[in-house]
Order: sequence, then structure tokens, then C-alpha cells
Amino acid sequence: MSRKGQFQSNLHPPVSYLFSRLRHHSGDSNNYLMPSHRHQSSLEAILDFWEPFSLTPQQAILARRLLDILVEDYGLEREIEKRYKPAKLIYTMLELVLSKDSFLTLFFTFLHEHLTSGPSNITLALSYFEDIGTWEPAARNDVASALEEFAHYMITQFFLPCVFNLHPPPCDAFLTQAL
Amino acid sequence: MKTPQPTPTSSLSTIQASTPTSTKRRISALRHDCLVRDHHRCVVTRKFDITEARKRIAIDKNCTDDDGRPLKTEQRGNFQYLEIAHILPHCLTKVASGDEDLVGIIPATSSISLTGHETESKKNILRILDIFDPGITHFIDGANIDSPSNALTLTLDNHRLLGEFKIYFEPTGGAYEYRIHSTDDDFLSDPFFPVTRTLMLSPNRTIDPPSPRLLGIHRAICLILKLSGAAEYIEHVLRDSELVTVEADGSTHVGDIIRLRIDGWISAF
Repeated sequence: MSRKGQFQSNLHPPVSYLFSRLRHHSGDSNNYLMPSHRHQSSLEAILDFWEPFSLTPQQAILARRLLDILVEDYGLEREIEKRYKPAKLIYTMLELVLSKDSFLTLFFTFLHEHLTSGPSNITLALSYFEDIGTWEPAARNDVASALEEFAHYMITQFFLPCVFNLHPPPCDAFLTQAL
Repeated sequence: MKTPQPTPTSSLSTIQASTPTSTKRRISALRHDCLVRDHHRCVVTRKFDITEARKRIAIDKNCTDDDGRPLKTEQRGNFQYLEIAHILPHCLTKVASGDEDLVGIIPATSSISLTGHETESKKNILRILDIFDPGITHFIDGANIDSPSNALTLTLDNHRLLGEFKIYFEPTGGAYEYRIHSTDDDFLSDPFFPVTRTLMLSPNRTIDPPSPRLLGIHRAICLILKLSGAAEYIEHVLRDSELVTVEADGSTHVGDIIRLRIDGWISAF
């Protein structure tokens, strides 16, 4: 089996780790992630990642083409057991976020980390997926699992906390009703 | 997150009790500014604030609304309790370890010190927010989160719908004009939606209008949740999380609830 078939299903590279990698690459002399501006604020010490990243035009085109292939391969409307559509979530997110380069970078480095368990950056990740059309079915299934993992990570790390804060714990709900 | 309200009759008075004075003062100023800017009317329904109406009637039976129309000509159903809703949830922007505001606003956060997981989780939120709109975290940094540009005057129902990402504002291209949509469908679909509204401006425009950028992020989240089916999944998780004993309920969402617990979004079961 090729290395592209060796899926490390137990790996969960945290998004923060990937962001950290993006940040480090922004200072690399071989940098392909170019911070467009920099601000000072009280959050900066924490959000030192926050400069938007730009892919080269070639990388952006390739990343978009690969994402389309991955989404089509997986099935845009395919629903998993949890009753949501991972590919639709990813595709809609790409359509609606303004920093598409950052999203594509995060997406591909996340998948690459999951599939190889090694260090990643957008160049390595795009190179890794470039010939995905020739991959054997088992390897493509591994990619599908990684894609689901990414969608689930977005839900648990962003969307779920966004909505959750409407719902106080039961004891607080009881107390507020009682008053 | 549902924005805490400063009025004594607020159903969130338990939260106020633990809210630091600085936050209370900010929220109180925010409520005042938004009510003035929005002419004491719900941005969605145009219903008038019943508390303000009572105050005005007590002074003058022939009182008028902010635009000079006699209040007594309004139908009774057009008076409602109004609240101030944050467009982007207040607590999501509070990430610093030991942030007293965070502790005050989220009762579940029972300790001043956030754990590494909690802080990391909240940082992830901001990182992802910045992908939605680069630089937005600076726009809502610090006290800016309680700026009128991140708030709307709404009825209780619409405050809940906004916070649950079940209604969203789509710009029409007209100045301050939005088409407000609901994501509910089937028999839950409210025929009131979609509705087009032009946002009110404050006298002399001294109070910022709701930010189109923040409304844009809110809209994007609504659409992603709706189109992917994640909204239903999240509802299931939330329903499960409301069960105090989850270990025996056969839930398939326990892992995500535990994740929320580790990340500090909910307290111990």
C-alpha cells in the first residue's frame, strides 16, 4: 500500500497547532504565507496568528481545484450518522468566509496532518494531494474520514460553542425561571 | 449568547448578581444607546418598548413615540418587552485567562482562572472568526464588544432567534436596508419572514448603526449551519447536554458534550 493509504485515524492535530504552524511559516524566508498587515491591540499577545494569509495565485487555484475534487469525491450532499453533511459544511464555509486562502490553508494542512502524522505546511499538503485522482480507493476513503474529522472539528470548536452559550446549565435555567 | 439585560425585571438577574460593575455599566449604557438609536422599537417587528411606553404615559397621556406619532394610536400588541442582543455572542470574545467579564457573563464558568483547554478553545473561536472576516477580532476587542455596532434592539423571541442563529440579516444594497430571513421551515416557518427593514439611525447619528461586517458573519454562520444540517445536530447535542446525567441516556453526542466541558463551555455534569 502506498503511504497515502496509511491513515492515522487517532490523530487530532488541534487547530491551534495548525495556526501555530501558519504563524511560524509567516516568518520563514521561504515564506509563501504573507501577512498583509499588522495591528497592535490588547488581543495581539494572544492572537499572534491573526494576520490573514495569502496563497500564491497558483497555490490558490490548485487548492480550490483539489477541494472541489475532494468534495465531489466525498459527495456534497452525503450525510453522516450524526445527520449533517460534512462536505456541504466545508464547501459552504469556503463560499462564505472572506479569507478563503486562510481557510484553504487550514483545511489542507489539517487533512495532511491527519493522513501523514508528520509536520505539514500548505506546500507539502498541496503537493501531497496533487495526484489524488490516481489514488487507490482505500486511500481515498482515508481522505474522506479526514474530511469528516475537519468538519466535526469546526462544529465542536466553533459552531457548537457559538450556539451553546444561549443555553445555561439546568440549575441556572431553574434559578432564572424561579426569580 | 443571550445578552444580559440591566433592567430589574430581567430574567437574567442571577447573572447580573455576579456581573462585575464595569460590565454592568457597559451593558446598561449599551441598552440605553441601542434603544435611542433604534427608536425604542424592535429592529425586526417594530414593536415599541412597553417599559418606555409606561414611563412616557406616566408623564403625559398624549405621549408620542420617537418619531412624533401618538403612542395611543398603536395597537396593544405592538408593545412588548425589548432586550438588547449582541450580534456576535459577548462571551466568545473574552479569551484572556482570568477575564472577570467572562466569569460574570457565563455562570458555567465558575472559576476566575480558565484552564489551558478553556483558553485554547476560546482562542480557536477567535482564530476562526478571523477567517470569516480578517481583522474582525480587533473590531470587537475589549469594550468594543459592547458597542452599539454589535447590538440590536429586539423582542425576547427575536433575541432568542438571533442568538440561536435562526434569523439572519441579508443586505439589500439599499442604505441600512436588510431582508431578514428565518431558517425555520416546514410547519415551524413563520409567515412573518422574510421581512425587509431599514435600520433606524440615532438623532444626529451619534450612535453607531449595527455593523454590516458583524451582521455578515452572523449571516454566514446561519447559512452554514442550515445548509449543512449542523444546526439540527447541534440542537441534539444541546438537548443531551441539558440532561444532568448523560451516562445512561444512550446519547451518541456524549463525546461532544465532554468536549464542551473540557473546553469550559459548560460546568461539570
